[in-house]
Amino acid sequence: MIEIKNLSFGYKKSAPVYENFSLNIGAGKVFGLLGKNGTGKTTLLYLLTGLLHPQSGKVLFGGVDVHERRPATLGEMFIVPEEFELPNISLKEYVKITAPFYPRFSHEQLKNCLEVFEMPADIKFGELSMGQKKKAFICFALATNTRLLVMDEPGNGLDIPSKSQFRKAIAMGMSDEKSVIISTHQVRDIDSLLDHLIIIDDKRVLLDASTTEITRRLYFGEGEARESDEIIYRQPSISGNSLLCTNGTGEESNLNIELLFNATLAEREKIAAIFNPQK
Amino acid sequence: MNSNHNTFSLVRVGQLLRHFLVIERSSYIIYTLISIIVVQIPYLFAAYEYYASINKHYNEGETAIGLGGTFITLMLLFAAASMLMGSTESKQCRNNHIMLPARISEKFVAQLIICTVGACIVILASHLLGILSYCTLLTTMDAPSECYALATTFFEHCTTIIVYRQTPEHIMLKGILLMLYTICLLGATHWRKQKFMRNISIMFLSAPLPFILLDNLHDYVNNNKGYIITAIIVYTLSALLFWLAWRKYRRIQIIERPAKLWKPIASLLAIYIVLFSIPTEERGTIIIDEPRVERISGVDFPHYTHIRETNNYDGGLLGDFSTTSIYRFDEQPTEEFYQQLDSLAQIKGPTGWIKIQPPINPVEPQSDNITEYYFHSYWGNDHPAPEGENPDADRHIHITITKGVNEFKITYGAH
Repeated sequence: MIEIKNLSFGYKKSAPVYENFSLNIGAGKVFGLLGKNGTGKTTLLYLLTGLLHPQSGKVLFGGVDVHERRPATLGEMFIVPEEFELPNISLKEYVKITAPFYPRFSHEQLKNCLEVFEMPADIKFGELSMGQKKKAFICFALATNTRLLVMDEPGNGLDIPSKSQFRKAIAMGMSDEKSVIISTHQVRDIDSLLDHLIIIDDKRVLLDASTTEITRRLYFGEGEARESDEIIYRQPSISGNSLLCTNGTGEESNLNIELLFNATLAEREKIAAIFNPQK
Repeated sequence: MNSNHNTFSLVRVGQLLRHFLVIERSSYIIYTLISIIVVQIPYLFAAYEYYASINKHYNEGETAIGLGGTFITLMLLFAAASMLMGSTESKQCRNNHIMLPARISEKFVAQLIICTVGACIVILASHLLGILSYCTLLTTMDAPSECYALATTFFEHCTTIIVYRQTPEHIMLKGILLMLYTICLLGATHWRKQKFMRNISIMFLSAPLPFILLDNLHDYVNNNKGYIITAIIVYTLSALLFWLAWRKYRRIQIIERPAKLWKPIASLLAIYIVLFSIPTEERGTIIIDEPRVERISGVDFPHYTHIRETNNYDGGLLGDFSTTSIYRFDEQPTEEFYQQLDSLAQIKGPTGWIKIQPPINPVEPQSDNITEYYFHSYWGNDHPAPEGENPDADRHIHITITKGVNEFKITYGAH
């Protein structure tokens, strides 16, 4: 669905954020985009959606360069940024003036999403708190039924019940032809949603694999005894040590994204060797 | 309706118009209210002038409505042009704007319609309201019917300027206004905050440039050619500025380096330096010789000599200048000379000569009786030129002769 080819971008010439960066994002999955502060996750999202122009390279969405900002392309993508602004009008009015631009907009889906978030339909944006505005905006985003939905820290500002409502709403809206890319630090809020993880750091992709593939190749343990040559990474936890090990025996374990993230940053070569054996 | 196609669509432009008008309605409401209020000022002032005047005739009202209304209208148009980008001050607003599924050209056209056509409608309605206010106030003051006609002075000004005045000078002036308008459009795409104020500062620096260029051109070509060349330059510049505004609009990003005001100011100052360094011809003292005076005035002049220049004015911007010199007859003019002047002054027709002779004092009939002769002629701007003079140059000449005095004065210049 999305091809990033040899992308180079920097806010200053002396400090590029990406250099010859390439990545492919397929359809029908929920992608988690992880990285340390300042690695360029939000910048990547902006480049994916054409909000920023790369210095070189291309981002193709369905074979079309997003830089061209064609209506057909824009009509198939929606971004929920970390900070957004809604006009001081009612949701009904906002839908009336904005929905016509999205050919697959579904009023039914909007209604269902609002019900999941326990929000009434007759809301006025000017009267909502930040968290409520975010829920309303997420409902609108899901109702557009775009093939690509990009979300930057969607959990920010949502209370605890809303986070589980959010997971339910995303799951409800998914289909085989849609992709959702979620950039977040709060992985525990969405770890059950994610189908694919992308970890970036220092202008490159450190890990690009499905959660199935990850749990097939890696074992996530807690306070267990393991052969030292199997252990890739360990970190202290309440129950002793959390371990990340190779999974030669195909044991099942629960994906611990935080552990994986720390391990990927600490043991890049080992992780790369496991998931990209040809490189 | 499938709005997903990529070709330019007027239907989508209409949808965008509705979208922008609703999203930005607070800004447009504020603009409308300000327009209504400020446009009332000249009309209310004109009504006050009528009220305050002793003879109960309008006096300054025409200036208030005509010039004041024109100035306010221009400022409102420039303010509207500064709103071309709508609300894109923040990153979040730019995100909403860029991601809206429509062609960039459609968004540009929609916003251009709002800030040009929309602004014109608002300003026109404000003027109509102003006329209503003016007439209502005059009615309470029992004003005569001729005062009401003043209310339409602004529209008469506009019609005259736009429709009827098509001389090179007026075409150039309209081009300068267009240039200033496109500066506002370009500024709207560059500035993030305080767009109108920054545009005003750039316009303030840019507005004199065409006149300085025109003044420099007057040393090499005549007035009309100067106007035409300057007009070509400003219209070309307007097209370039409009294209630059479109180009910048097309490339908007969610994160951009803020434009710095000092850069265009520095560029303009550099242009000023270049223009002022262009060598201009020093006019020097202009001496009108006898053959020339005789051709222009139709009078045989006795021999005279140039004594001194008493005034030399160079108006600068439009090439105006005026020089006054004192001349002395080599010999006291004869009575035949003055009889020539008398006969020309008596002829009813455009000889240019008039005679001023104060009435004889009955108390002291022998007191000095100063008789003065004045000659005035001007040509250019469709007025025919005297023999030997350039019909394309706007010039005037004024001769003052006092009977019995050896010295006389000639004033010559461009208007």
